[in-house]
Amino acid sequence: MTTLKQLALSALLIVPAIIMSAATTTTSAPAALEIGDTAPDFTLTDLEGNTHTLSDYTSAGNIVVLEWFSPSCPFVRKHYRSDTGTMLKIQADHADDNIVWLRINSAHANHPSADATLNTDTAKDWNITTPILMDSTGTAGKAYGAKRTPDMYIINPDQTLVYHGAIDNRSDAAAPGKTNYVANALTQLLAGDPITKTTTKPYGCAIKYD
Amino acid sequence: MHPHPHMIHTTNLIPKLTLIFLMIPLVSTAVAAIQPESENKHLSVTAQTSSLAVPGQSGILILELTVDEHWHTYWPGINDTGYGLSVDIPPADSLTFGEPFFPTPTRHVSPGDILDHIYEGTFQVLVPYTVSKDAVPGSRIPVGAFINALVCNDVCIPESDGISLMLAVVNPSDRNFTRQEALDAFSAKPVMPPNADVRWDDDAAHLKLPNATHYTFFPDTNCTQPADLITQGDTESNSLTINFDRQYEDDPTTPARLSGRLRAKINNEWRDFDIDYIQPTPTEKSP
Repeated sequence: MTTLKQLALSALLIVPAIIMSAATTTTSAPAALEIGDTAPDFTLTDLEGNTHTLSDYTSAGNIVVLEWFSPSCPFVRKHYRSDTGTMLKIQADHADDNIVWLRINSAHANHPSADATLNTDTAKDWNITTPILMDSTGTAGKAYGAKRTPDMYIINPDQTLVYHGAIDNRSDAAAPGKTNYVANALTQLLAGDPITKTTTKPYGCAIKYD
Repeated sequence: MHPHPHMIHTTNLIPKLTLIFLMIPLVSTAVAAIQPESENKHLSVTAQTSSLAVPGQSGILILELTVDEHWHTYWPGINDTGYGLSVDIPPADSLTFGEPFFPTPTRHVSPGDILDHIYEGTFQVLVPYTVSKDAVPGSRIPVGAFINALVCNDVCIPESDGISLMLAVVNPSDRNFTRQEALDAFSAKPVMPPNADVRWDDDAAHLKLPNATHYTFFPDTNCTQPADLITQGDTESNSLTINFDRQYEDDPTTPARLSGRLRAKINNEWRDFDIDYIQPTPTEKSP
């Protein structure tokens, strides 16, 4: 009986780890993506064990926002504070549009910010209800050339990259900027207008790949 | 990366800074007390400076910053991540402060082609000041300095710390050395190299110093965004080439700027320079 319990306990510990490390990408080489490039496809697993494939969302006609995420980065945190709520507000503003917002955590598996419990608890504390995808091998992050959290990418339904850069124009960890590049880009994209600012300089914490 | 010393590269400042430290006990000065630290702080600042001010003369506020072992903070210039530390000095009666001088950082390359310029351990930030001629001997001038920084190891934490001290205004005759020497020491900070050969392409700058064999470049916030600082920012060569990435700029047709701290190995000796070159306009290029 004890052995069975131990096996069950081991399975409980190991299975999430396997799920978390089961990310696969079709493009693994580091790349400097440019606007208009085809966004590298990936399949990643979220904290609840569900898999998410980029091309499934784009082929269904969705615009996809990728937000490189860390629960322990003050630059990320400033956009989730109760007095700011930058990220969730943009999501809420576009709740009725075909926009899928995916957060990706590319910290290596042993890094504190890759801890599944921490991410789950943070999602709850920060009222994040959409998936946080774990990329503990860093393959998706490196394929996109993501270096920081937050690092923002907007992908068209034809799976081309239409925006890459910062969330906004204030690069410290104290408060959001007055100009939100992602919100502006989404508004223009949905209106069928050209995006006036397709690349900006991202800022944030280093992604801990290895 | 070449084998830089671990922390601060102030080769040409060391003798001068040593002089400053030697002078401090001569005038029986007080050293500002360490501010109480909370348990969770990883950065602290103390003032290592004379507490005397002489009307009409200059001095240097030496802020000594210490970052906990295994933690680092950031050069106030271009980094891939993090933000540079800042020094805020509120105005003080009878004192005029100059721009802080930051030591040369070290390169820190992380997996994922992430390059930051960082400080570790203990280092000094120098802030020059001039005392008003109208300062009254016998009076005291309160001075404060506040540091804001992002300190990181596995995680990053915005932190701040500060110091406060009182400068006692004294007559020049009360002292046995001139504070001008300290200012002279500060003026020995890196300057523009006098004989640099700088050439420009559309998207690159090429810099060459006589007898230099190795360059390390730390761009400041005025510099046009370099395109590949990991490869080009530290090079064993007789010239430095920096390509620029103009995609983030509102107007990428404006002249590029090569600005920041440059370390160059000249005749096998490392020297620091502060450089600031602006790409000539087409008109300026013409003979």
